[in-house]
This record gives sequence, structure tokens and C-alpha cells, in this order.
Amino acid sequence: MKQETDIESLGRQIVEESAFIDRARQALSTTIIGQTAVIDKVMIALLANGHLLLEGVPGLAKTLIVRTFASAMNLSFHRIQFTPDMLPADLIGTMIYNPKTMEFHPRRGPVFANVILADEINRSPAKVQSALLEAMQEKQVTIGDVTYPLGEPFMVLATQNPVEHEGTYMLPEAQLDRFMMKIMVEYPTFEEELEVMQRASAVQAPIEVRAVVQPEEVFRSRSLVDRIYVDQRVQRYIVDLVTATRSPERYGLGNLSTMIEYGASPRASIFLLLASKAHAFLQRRAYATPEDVKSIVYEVLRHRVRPSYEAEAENMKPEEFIRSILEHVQVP
Amino acid sequence: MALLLVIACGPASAAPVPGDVTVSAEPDSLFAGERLHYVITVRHDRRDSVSVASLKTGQGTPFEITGAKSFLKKLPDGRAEFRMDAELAVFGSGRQPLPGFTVVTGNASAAGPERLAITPTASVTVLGMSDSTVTELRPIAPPVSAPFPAWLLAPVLIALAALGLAGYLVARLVTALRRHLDDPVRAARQKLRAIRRQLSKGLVPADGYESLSNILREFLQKRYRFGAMEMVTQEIAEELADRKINIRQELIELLDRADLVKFADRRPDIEECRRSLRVAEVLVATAEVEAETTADVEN
Repeated sequence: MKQETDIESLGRQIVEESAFIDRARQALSTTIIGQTAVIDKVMIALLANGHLLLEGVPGLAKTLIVRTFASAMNLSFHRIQFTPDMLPADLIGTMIYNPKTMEFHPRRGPVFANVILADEINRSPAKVQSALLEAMQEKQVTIGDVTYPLGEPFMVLATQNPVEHEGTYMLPEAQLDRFMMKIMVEYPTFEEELEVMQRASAVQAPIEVRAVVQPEEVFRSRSLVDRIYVDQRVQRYIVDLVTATRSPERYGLGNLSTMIEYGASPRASIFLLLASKAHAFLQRRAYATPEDVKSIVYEVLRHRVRPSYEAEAENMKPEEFIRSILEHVQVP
Repeated sequence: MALLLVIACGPASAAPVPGDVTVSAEPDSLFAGERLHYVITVRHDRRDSVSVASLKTGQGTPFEITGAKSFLKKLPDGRAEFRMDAELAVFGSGRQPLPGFTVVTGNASAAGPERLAITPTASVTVLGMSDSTVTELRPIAPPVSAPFPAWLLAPVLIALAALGLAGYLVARLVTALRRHLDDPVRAARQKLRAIRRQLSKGLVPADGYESLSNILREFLQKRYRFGAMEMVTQEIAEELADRKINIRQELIELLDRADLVKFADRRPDIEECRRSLRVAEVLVATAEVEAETTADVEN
């Protein structure tokens, strides 16, 4: 069987360049027990230049995952705890007056880092959320009259607590759409929790993860991800899945049309394609398959499909719509 | 009980005499308002014409005529018989003498018709259920409908049973035919052969692999009843393993190879495609046997 030469050579390059993934996983496993799916999704977001929304109850090591990930990848990390009294300047920075020089000079905010953990993003008012989301989109912020580019790579991981909604400002759909994926952080298994408990009960300070990956490796990998071959059939499959959230009746899912208030935007198709390519990279493949699409479709679509009032009354979750769509849309 | 009365006496002549007139009434006892069947028979010369007139019914009498018919019959002794059947409604109560009448005889040789007044001596007993002065007709009871002859249903039931049996047989035939046509093994093998033929006619091998993948997935979907068309190869393999379906590994490998052609832009040559189609055909045929064996073991 012959193969397109580009794909073959790209495959070889991917195998070479993706070696850092194993190193990163190995380093992370020294600190983080389980949560491999979450780590893979964070890796995908980094490779696809996307941002993540993490949702899970407190105590599931969300912050630890992100901090350790940043350390292992040798990326600067800032954790920002969002609060109701926060101002945009607390995030992006502000102009400070220096009485000695009698001049204003900029003080950069915590957003200037490679990896930002926006903890409980829904606790701050809309203007702060907007400032962060604008930075995510534009990859730059303006302080005073000067525009400053943000670090590269730049990735925001925002967390939301699903059980406490009092005094919170839910992210509007337009802003949710800017996150490439929404990851549900689940409880560890019994064995994992046992190991977490044993490790955490030590009096000694936890082992600091050393950097095992250089940002240059990430940049090179990103350029390889860009070149991953995605056949027209897979592209059509992606658009089919996203379109099915908007017009389920076209795919024999008439019962969902009243259950979905509105479906995913074209941005979802873009992110689904990018994330599929990044997933293929993690599998050391130079081409994406429907399997890659299916592997990340829940994460990409779940925050973009809004259940209708009827669906909420029946306690239906977006995941159920996505599962139904996957069962009805034919794989190429 | 029928009442028969013969009125005798009279001169012997061509015209009827009282002895030729017979009157009968039935029944001899009835309720007020009921019907009395009153028959007057007159035997006469064939050359004469006879009629009955002045039947004493109506106002002032306990009888009301509700219908009458006349008949004429030739008798073997050379004479004729005139008969009038009358239906009378009876009123009043107690014994009521039968109404009198006049027999009118016409003869061409005579100067005019001869009249013979008859007064029957017999009577009927009327049981008054109501006031004897009532002269209205009692309502007639509606006719009792005859019972439906059940035996008439028999041929209908037999015809229906025959029709049902014929329908059942046709349905079974159609089902068997459809099962034969929808048989996933047969359908898959036919399609695989068709692809091989198309390859000889210039079908691109890559398209052949795509068809091969679709045929195999359709076969698995129909044969084992799960959504193989909506599954990727890995999911299909897992589903088959979960269901303990003993599919040969080569089938999954064929799907994997087709995936490479479809998604990795691999370009197989025609011989390779032919070989895969042949292997697929054998796998499809043996897959069923293996699956049935597995099902037998499970049962």
C-alpha cells in the first residue's frame, strides 16, 4: 500500500517531536494521581492554542494539575482568584504614578503569564470576565495607551464550581464559546484516592516537578499539528456533528429540536477540527480520524449546546444530546 | 275453532239458494278490537255472476270491515264457487251474531239480478277488554321478525377462514422472501462481488476500500443489530467483544486498513483491493457461522 509521502514524513516527524509528551506525562504522574484524561485535554488545548474551562467540585486537584502542568512544561504560571470586588485592572494591570519621576508607568497584571488559572471565574463581575476573555481572544492587553502582547504560549484555564451559584455571575454564551473545551473534572477512583491520601499525609513538602519540556518543543509541535492531514470525509463528519446540534431534525433527531434552545456555533467546528488534530498528534498520527473527533466531541460541544426549558425541566444534560447525535450521525 | 254454518232450504233454481251459501268465521272467540276472519262461499251456476253486497258492518254494528278479497273457482261438477275472504275488526262484548249480507246473482236470461239476503245464525264471543262503547281500532302489534338463519353464516365463515389462511400463507411467503433478500450475508457478498466487478471496469481502488468498509459495517449492523454505521472501528471491535461475538480479527484489520485509505490518504493498488474484497467475502460467510455457534453455546 502506498501512502502520500507528505503524510509519511510528517508521521515520522510527529513520532520524533512528540517524545516530550511522554516526558511530561511521566513528570506529572509524580505529583498527580489519575486524572489522565484531564491532563490529555490540557495537552490538546496547549497544542491547539485553545483555552479550557474546568468544572468540578472543590478538592479535585484542579489547581494542582494546572500548576504542575505549567512547571513540567517550563511555562510561567499565575493563579488568579476571581472575587466579586475585582476590577479589570487587577487582572490586566494599570498605570502607576511614580512621584520621583513624576510619571505614570505601567504595572502589568497577573494575566502576563503563559498559563493562567482563572479560579472561579464566575465569581467576578462581567467587566472582569470580559477583560480576561478579550485577552484570551486578542492575545494582547492595553494598559494606558500602550498595547502589550501576552506571553506565547498563552493558555487560560478557568474553573467553575458547579454546586455553588449564589453570588456568581454566570458566563454568557458568547464568552463560553471562546473556550475551546469544557472539561468535567471527576472524582478519583478508590485506588487513586487511596494513593492521593497516602502521598498527601506526608509532613514533607510535596516534590516540586522540574521542567521536562521546553516551550520551543511546544511551538514545533504546534506547527506539526497544523500540518496534520484531515480528510474531507472527517471534515464533513465534524460539520455534520455540529450542524446536528442546530438542526437535529435533519439527522433523524426530531425529538431533540424542542430540547435544544440553540446549538453550537461555527467556532465549534473550528475548535473540533483543531482539537481532533491535536488528539491525533497525541496518538502519534499524521492524520485525523473520526475516532479523534469522537474523543473530544463532548468537551468541545457540551458548553455550546444549550438545553431548552423543556429539557431542563426533564433534567436533560447537553451530554445526552451529544450522545444521541453521535448515535445518529453516520461515521464516514 | 272454526265455525261452519250451512243455511238450508230454498227452491231449486239456477240462482243460488241459501243452501248454496256457506259462512265461516274464525276464531269464534276474541278480544274487542281483534280481527275476525270471515269467509262467505257461494256455489252457483257457471253461467251466473255472483257477488256479495250489503255486508252489515260499520256504524251501529260491532263489526268494521278492514279488508276483503274475492275469488272465483270452477268446480268439477260443472258449477262454480264464489268466495269472499273478509277481515273484520270486532268491537263490543258478549256474543255477537255474524253480520248479514246479500248475495246478488246476475243472469243474462233473467230480467234483472236476483238478491238473496242471508242472516247467519252463528255468532262470535267478544271478550271486552275495555269499555264496550269503544269503537276505535286497536293498534296492531308490530310483526315479529323471523329469526336469522344461522346456517347462512357457515359459508361466510368458511370463506373468511380460507381468506385468512391464504393471507397468512402469503405473509409467510413474503416474510421468507424478504428475509432471503435482506439476509445480511447474502447482501454483503453480493455487494462485495459487485465491487470486484467494478474494479475491473475502472473503479479506483481507494473507492473500493471505502465501499468495502461501508459494506462490512452495514453487514455487522444488520447481522448483530448494533449501530456499526455510527461507530468507528475501535468502537466496533469493543462492541463485538462486549457482546462476546466471535468475529475473526481479520475483519477488524480490514476495517483498519480501509480507515487508512479513507483518512490517511493511503493509495492501495488494484490487486491489494481485490485481495481484501475476497478476504472480506470469506470473512462475511464464516462470521455468521461463528456467531451462530457462539449463540448456540450461550443458549
